[in-house]
This record gives sequence, structure tokens and C-alpha cells, in this order.
Amino acid sequence: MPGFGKPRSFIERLADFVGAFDAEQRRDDTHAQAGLNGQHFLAKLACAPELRRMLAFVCFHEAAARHKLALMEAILARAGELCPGAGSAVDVVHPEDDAPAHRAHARELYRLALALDPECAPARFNLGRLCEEGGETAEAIALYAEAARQHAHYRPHAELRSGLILEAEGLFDDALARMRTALAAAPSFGELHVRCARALRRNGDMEAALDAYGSTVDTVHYHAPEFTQLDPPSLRRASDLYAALLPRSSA
Amino acid sequence: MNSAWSRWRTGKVDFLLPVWGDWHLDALERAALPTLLCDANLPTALRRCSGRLVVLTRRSDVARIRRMPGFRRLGDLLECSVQVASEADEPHVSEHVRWSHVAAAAARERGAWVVLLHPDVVWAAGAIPHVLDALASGKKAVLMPPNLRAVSETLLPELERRTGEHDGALSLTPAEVVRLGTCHLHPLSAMALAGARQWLPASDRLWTVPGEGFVVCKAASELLAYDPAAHGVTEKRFASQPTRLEDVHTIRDSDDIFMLSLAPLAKDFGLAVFDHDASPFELARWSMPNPYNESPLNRHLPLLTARLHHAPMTERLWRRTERRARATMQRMLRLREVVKVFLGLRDEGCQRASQLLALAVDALDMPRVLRGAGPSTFFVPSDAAFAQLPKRELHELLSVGSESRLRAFLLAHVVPGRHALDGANARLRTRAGRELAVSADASGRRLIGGSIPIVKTAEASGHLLHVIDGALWDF
Repeated sequence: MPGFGKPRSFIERLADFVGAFDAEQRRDDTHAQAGLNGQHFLAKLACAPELRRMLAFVCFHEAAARHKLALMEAILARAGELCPGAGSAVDVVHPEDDAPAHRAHARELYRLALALDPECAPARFNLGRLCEEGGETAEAIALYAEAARQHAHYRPHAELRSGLILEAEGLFDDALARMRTALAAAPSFGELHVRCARALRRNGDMEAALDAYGSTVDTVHYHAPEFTQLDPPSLRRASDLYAALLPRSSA
Repeated sequence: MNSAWSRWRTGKVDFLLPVWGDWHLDALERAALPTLLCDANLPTALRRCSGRLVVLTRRSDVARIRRMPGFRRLGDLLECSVQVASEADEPHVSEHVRWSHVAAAAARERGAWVVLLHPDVVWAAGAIPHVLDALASGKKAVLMPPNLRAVSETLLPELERRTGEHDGALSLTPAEVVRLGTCHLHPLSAMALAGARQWLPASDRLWTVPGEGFVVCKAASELLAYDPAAHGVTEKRFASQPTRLEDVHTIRDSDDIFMLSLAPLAKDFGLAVFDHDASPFELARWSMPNPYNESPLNRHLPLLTARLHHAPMTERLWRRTERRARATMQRMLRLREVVKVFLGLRDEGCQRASQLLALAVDALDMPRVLRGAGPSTFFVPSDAAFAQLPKRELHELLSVGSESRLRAFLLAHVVPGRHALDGANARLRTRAGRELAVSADASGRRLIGGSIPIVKTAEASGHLLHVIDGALWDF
């Protein structure tokens, strides 16, 4: 995870990169300064789709790192309630940050990733998770739907999350439709079978509920990690590209 | 113990240490080696046995291991070898298990016992001699201690400061190690706490005793030490032999044998389930269907509680927490039985009955339903029999709000005890209280209630399954 242990380093490095890129391209002090402005930067990169995708990927990883850290802090805060004295480790790693700050920063970076590359499905899915956690359910469902459309990997989780939101809002038919779509995409996703079976039973569709229940016992608990970003070669490539573009940093 | 030691004094022990990669080598150098080198660990152990250390690694890590001051100090204590177990640059993450199997075979050849030294742990003072004590007392294997994880990014610097003050060796009492584990609690262990709002599928479960420590139960356990000549291990280092819990040493108190696992903050985080705490059924489902986790010990192991304590123990609090822990694990064990019956039903082609059982697991308090049942005889309507039942009434039975009828339906098909029904006539009483007459027709087919034939009989985890061509229920 680039920059995981250094919360401020990514922005600093990105600013360095933008500045260097701008200076290299235009050799104009005025524009170089303007290059530090995000909008100008995005406009400049319009003709470099590969570069945009790579930068989106870098933004996404930084956002995911912060998102994870926020979740870890929540987990350890709960552990601290259950077991006094537990969970001080995250405070030691990041004394100046807290979960809300990480969430806000993650949200900003996911949006930046999507501005750079609207097809960045993992950023869209994870932004959906943040929106859902924040109670913005309509936006979350829209983000999930788009993430599922963009990348098949996210379809089961996207449809499940949407289904659970809709079910909580009392929209059982819509919820069921989502969960059925998810099941079709991931027949071995055990947790999905459980949720779907419950919804079907509550809705009175017993034949389908029995079929779903039959798959709940010996299927694996998770289908795939929700925070799996991309395959390892892509990850390595992005990391290498990032390092090559930032010769002055220790990325 | 003295007489045991006198019998075992000439015993040989192979300490196996599989390790590779920068992070693990770092943990080895900064945590495992200093705590193994403290006088209360390897030095004391080696006064009691003839030991050798076998480090298993990839080729590119050999030089770094040999350069470690701690490794060189180990060389003053016992014979040390560094073996290239893989030529691969990046061995698969589970390679260490295969390596240790190969090394255990070599230990068997020379008549040595095996102790697995994990590289990414902090060893509590006294742990290694206590492992040997257990083996010398006649135990055939030692199970892994309860798993508590700490964040390496924060714990390693603290250990290093202390090691620097103590000339490369670090003696930490078990209570100190538990305290460090609490202060540097890893999210993976936080998710294993009862009452957490997230869960990471894992076999260990922790209950907190506020201010004093943790009660831990294991749904399954690997081995820490064993005699490779006498006892089998599964592919994943679970015991296939011995089969009796009394033949193995289980760790019930951190003062006995304890090691604190280290992990990077982000390890395995993507596997976390963020919606809920683990239920006993999820523990059962997670720890059982994987064949690698299967061990004859798993039937009883979960009910054993271990105490990890870092402060004086208030006995009343610990006993109360242990009761809670055992109650949860008892439910988990009963649900494991249900899972085994489910799998047995499916193997026998009873699809609909298995589905109905799965629905019942979710809809009913199955551990309560099956409380005290022990080995039972299940009369299982075949799929053909289910197809003959009135659909609307069956669906009503399964619907939300009909749970008491569903419970009665299930119990109407279960008889306590194993009844093979080899003889012609018998009278049985179901758990619903109804009497069943078993007879035989002219062709020798066994009939239930005079009209429902038994199609076939199978066994699932000690329970008998009679597949019948009807249902023992009046719709």
C-alpha cells in the first residue's frame, strides 16, 4: 500500500509530480504554479488516458489505505470498549489522524480517482461503501450499480449491498431482484446465500428459499475480499510506474 | 516430572524454523530470536535435551540469516543448519508447511522429536522448556497455544528497545507478553473478540476479562510439537493421530506455554466481514467443512478454555467468562453435528431434507432443539416423498411465524439413540413424543407405522439416517 504509514506523503508526492510534469511540459512558471491546481491538472491529462488511469489507480490505493485505516480504528475502538487498554497500536501508527479524517480523505481521493478515470470500478465500489456507511443510501446504490456494470468482480458484493439497503427500506421485491442477480454472478458466495434465503423466506417464496438455504451450509463465507483491488501484476505495474514517475520520492 | 526427565534425558529434538522474506526475517531477528535466547527458553531447554536447529528458507535469504547476531549466538548453544528448502524467489505462502513435513521426516529418521519454532512470534519465558516438559511427561503432542496477534509496526520497535538493554536476549514473562498483546492488539484479534461488530473467519475465539486478560477457545488447532515417528499430522499440521484429547498437551494458561503472534497492521484485512460478530454456526461452518481442519481432537477441543492473563486473576470473573465461552462453543459443536448431518443427507441424495435442515438452522435455535440428543436416528423423507406432500401446507410450515411447528416437524423425525432396525419389529419414541412402530412386510422391507418403507440407511458422524418414502407428519 503506497504511503500507508505516511498519511501526508501521497499528496506531497502528487504535488511534486504535478509540478514537475507541468514544468517539463510548458516550462512556464505561471503555468507550473497553475499545475498545482487539480482542475488544470485534469484538463492537461485529457490527452493521456494511460497516464490518467495510472494516476487514478494510485489515488485509489491511497484512498483504500485510508479507508482501511478508518475501519481498523473502528474495530480497535470497539476492542477498547470490550477490553480496556486494547487497541492502542493504531494511535501509535497515526497519532495525528482519526477515523472520520481518514474517511473524509478517502472519499476525496476516491472521487479524484473517478475524475481521472471514470472506469475505475474499485474506487466506485468503495466510495459506495463510504456513502452507505454515511447513510447516503441512494448514492451508494447508484455507485454500486455502476461498479457492477464496470467490473464483474464487484457484481456480487454490489448487488448484495444494494439488496440489503433496499430490504432495510422495505422494498422487498427490489431487494430480492438484486440478491438473485448477485447469486447468479457468484453461486459459491455463502453469505450471499444466507441473506438471499432469509429474504426469500420472509417474502414467502419457499421453493426458492429452500434452494438458497441448501447452499448456505458448506459454501465459503466470503466470495472474494471486498477490498481486493486488482490482480497482482496490475498492482505491481502501477506501483512501478508510480515509482518511475516520481524519481524524487521514495514511493 | 523428574523421573520423566530421567527417562527422556537422551531424547533428541529437532527445532524446525521455516522462514523467508524480509518481513519474516525482520520479525525473526527482532522478536523470535531474542526471546528464544533468553535463559528461560532455549538455554534451559538445551540443558535437558540434545537439540539441533534446522532453519528452512529460500536461497536468497541464507546469507542474511547467517549474519544475524542472534543466529550466531544460537550456534553457541546447539547445532544449527540453514537448509535451502526452495529455489523459488517467491515461494507460495503455504510452502512452510510442506518444508516442515519434509524436515519432520528427517527428524523421524534420526529418532528426534519435532518442535516448530515460529519466526514471527514473541516467545514467553519458559515456553520452550514447558513444551519439552509436556513431551517428557508422556504426552504425544503439544497443541498450539491460543492465538493472540499484535501489530508488528508498533510492537517490534518496543521489543528492540528492550533487547538493546539486555545484550541481545529478551526475557518476557508470560504476563508481560499478554500485556503487550493487549496494548498492541491486532485488528485480526480484535475481530475474534466476542461482542465485536466485525468478524474475520478464524478458529480462535476470545472473551475479554476486563483489565485482566482473555479466555480463549479453539475450534481446531495445529500442533506445536510431536513425535513424528509415532504420530500423524494432516497436510495442514493438525493431528490425525493421536485421537484422544488426554494424549495431547493443551495449553490452558499463558503461564504454561505462550507466544504472541506478530502481523503487519493490514494483514488479511480484506477478508473481514463488516456486518456482524461471528455466530456459533459461522464458527462451525468455517472450522468444519475444510477437510484440512479436520482432526479427531476437534470433537472435544472447543470446550477447553485457556486463560491469557496479564494481571492478578479475579477467580469469580474468570469462571463466569469461561462458562460463557463454553456455552458458545457447545452451541458451535452442536451445530457442527447439524452440518455433518446436512452433508450426510446431501450425500444420500436427500436434497430437499438437507435444504429444510439448513432453513431450520437459520430459523430455529438448533442447539436448543437438539440439546442432549447425542447420537440419534433420523427418519428422512426422500425427495420423492417430499414431492408428494401438499405444497401449500409444507410452505406454511416453513414460513416466518411457524417456527414452533417447524420444530415439531423436525423432532417428529428424530429418535434419540442409534437404532439400526435390523430386527423385524420395534417400538420407538420420537423426540416429539410420538410412538413409532417398526415392522416388516412379506418381502422383508422395514416399514414405519405399518406403511412407510425405509428406502435405505446411512451414517453421518455417528448418527443413523433412515431414508423413508413418506413423512411422519399429518398435514
